[in-house]
Amino acid sequence: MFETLSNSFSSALKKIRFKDDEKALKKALAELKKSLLKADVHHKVVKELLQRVELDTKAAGIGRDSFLKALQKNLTQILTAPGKQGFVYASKPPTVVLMTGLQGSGKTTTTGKLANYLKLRGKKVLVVAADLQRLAAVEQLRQIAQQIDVDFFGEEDEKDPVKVVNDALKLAREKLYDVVLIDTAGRLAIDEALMEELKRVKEAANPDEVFYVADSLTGQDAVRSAAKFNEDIGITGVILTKYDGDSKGGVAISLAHQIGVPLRFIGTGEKMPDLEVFIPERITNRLMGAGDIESLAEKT
Amino acid sequence: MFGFIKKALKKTVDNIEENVPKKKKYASPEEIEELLIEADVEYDLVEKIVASLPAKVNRVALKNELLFLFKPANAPQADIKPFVELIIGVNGAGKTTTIAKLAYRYKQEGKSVILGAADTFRAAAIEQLTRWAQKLDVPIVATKQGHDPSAVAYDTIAKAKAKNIDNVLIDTAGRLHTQTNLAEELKKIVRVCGKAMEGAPHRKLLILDGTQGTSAINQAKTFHEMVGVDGVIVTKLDGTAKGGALLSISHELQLPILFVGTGEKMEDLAPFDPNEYVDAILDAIFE
Ligand SMILES: Nc1nc2c(ncn2[C@@H]2O[C@H](COP(=O)(O)OP(=O)(O)OP(=O)(O)O)[C@@H](O)[C@H]2O)c(=O)[nH]1
Ligand SMILES: Nc1nc2c(ncn2[C@@H]2O[C@H](COP(=O)(O)OP(=O)(O)OP(=O)(O)O)[C@@H](O)[C@H]2O)c(=O)[nH]1
Ligand SMILES: [Mg+2]
Ligand SMILES: [Mg+2]
Repeated sequence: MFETLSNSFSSALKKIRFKDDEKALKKALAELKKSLLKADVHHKVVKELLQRVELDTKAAGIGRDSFLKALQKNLTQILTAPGKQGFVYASKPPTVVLMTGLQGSGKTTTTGKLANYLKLRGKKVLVVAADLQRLAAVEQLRQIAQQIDVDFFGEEDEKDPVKVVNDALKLAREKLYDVVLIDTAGRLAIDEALMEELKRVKEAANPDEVFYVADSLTGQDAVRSAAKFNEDIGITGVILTKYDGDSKGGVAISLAHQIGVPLRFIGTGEKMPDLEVFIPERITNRLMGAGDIESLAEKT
Repeated sequence: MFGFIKKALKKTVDNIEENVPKKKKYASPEEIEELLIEADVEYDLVEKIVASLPAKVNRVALKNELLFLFKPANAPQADIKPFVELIIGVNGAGKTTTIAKLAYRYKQEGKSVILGAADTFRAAAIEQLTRWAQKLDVPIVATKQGHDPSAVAYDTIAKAKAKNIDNVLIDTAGRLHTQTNLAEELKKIVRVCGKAMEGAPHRKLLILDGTQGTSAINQAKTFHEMVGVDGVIVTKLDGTAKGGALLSISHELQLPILFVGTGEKMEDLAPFDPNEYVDAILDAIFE
């Protein structure tokens, strides 16, 4: 998933010996900068990261180990935003999750992937079709639910998503579901009418999590649009989809830092198991080539 | 249709106007550079445009410069019947919706249309197109999920021939340009279309998501190498401040942009007019 970045980190590391001087550090930093920018990491985030790494490496005495440690520590910090990591259950079930985002970003598919992920962890999951806009959106979620054998809630001829959400939550409480995942219609942040509707849906759902599902192919635009949704609706996490495309990895690196909301999952394909949990420490370990087994075991 | 593109580019223009607040008669190359970067034109292309400009540029001069970057569209041959169009692109770009928009448009022009649901992969992709067909009141050829998409394409063309239908629009499953295994499937659909009717598909239309900027250019390159693309339709222009990417797409690929999508409804498709487009961007800084 992050091969390109990982390779460039090791080439930066090679520029610096076990014990070394300031000139070597400058070279290593320059190499790092080039590879981060090439990977599409936002330039302000690159600048900040480099400054911190330089300071920390110098403070600990210039050398390969201190450089590695500084990079690992600061990268983890950049990847970490205030908020939760992975999937977090509410203290009192059901945990209610609202899936939001632009048209075609992957909300419905990701709702299925998350349901599958939770089901494999022994949870009783209900997926709710609250996209009443797009043709056959309800049918799409129904088929996905059937495929992964997870319970589905939808009301065929209903027009108001708020009603669907209310009815679904009532059912979820009665039948003691652990998690309720609500799919919503795609919308642009500039579409005021649809954003109003989403606010009403959010009020009705009173969700523990609002996930913003973003298409990683849009590059830095994914960050901008997530920030806008965060302003307007309030989101608790971001999920980047279509990471199997030509995304160079950079958006995932700078996103949390730029908008102050953690990246929680990454979608890497069209199929239900193609979802990876994003835990900053594990990602940095992997980037540093630590070959983290725990994270591999987390793959569904 | 006039004004559609201007409306669609509103976000791009607003963004520019925030940065260049005062309108003027002449602009400096630096100001134009900023304008183009802000509109998300690729930097290589910005450099090229700016390098050829004098120290003071007026509207007409810049307009000519920009118009030069667009590849004109060839009018489709009028005498082919049925005229077969294959719709391709990455996941979620807007293929299925654009088919509905094109079908609506052809119907408005008094032509008969048939749809082929050859996305047999995605959950409820067939149902989505079927509901559009009902809404538009046009026939559709569809099978079950998992069936061979080429067979659907073949049957659709055969039916169009039998029923003397003017236009055939064939949907395909979304595929990322990086998924080489799906390339073969697409090539096969193209081949089979040719078996159903000599010369078909007459146009392979690539749907690009307007919010995807540089990735869209890579997509277009790969799809073009894969099966050859005859024209591009850029969707979701209503949601992007990246309208400038159209310039890069047209210039880099030498492919004509035929239509732009400006919303989710079947009417939300406008023929792309480079003149109107360039004017909409220039309005942001020039009087
Ligand atoms: N390759 C790849 N495709 C994906 C991924 N996630 C979703 N998709 C595909 O992207 C397309 C759109 O996904 P949907 O789940 O329908 O998107 P959506 O956000 O629900 O779309 P709307 O409801 O129309 O707004 C489908 O073809 C999915 O199969 C991913 O991580 N990788
Ligand atoms: N705002 C806006 N939304 C659009 C436009 N074109 C399509 N959409 C929306 O984008 C989403 C995806 O459109 P689809 O037509 O299903 O895309 P697709 O390429 O067929 O998707 P897959 O078959 O899953 O690969 C839907 O929610 C559409 O309503 C457009 O021009 N503007
Ligand atoms: Mg959906
Ligand atoms: Mg489709």
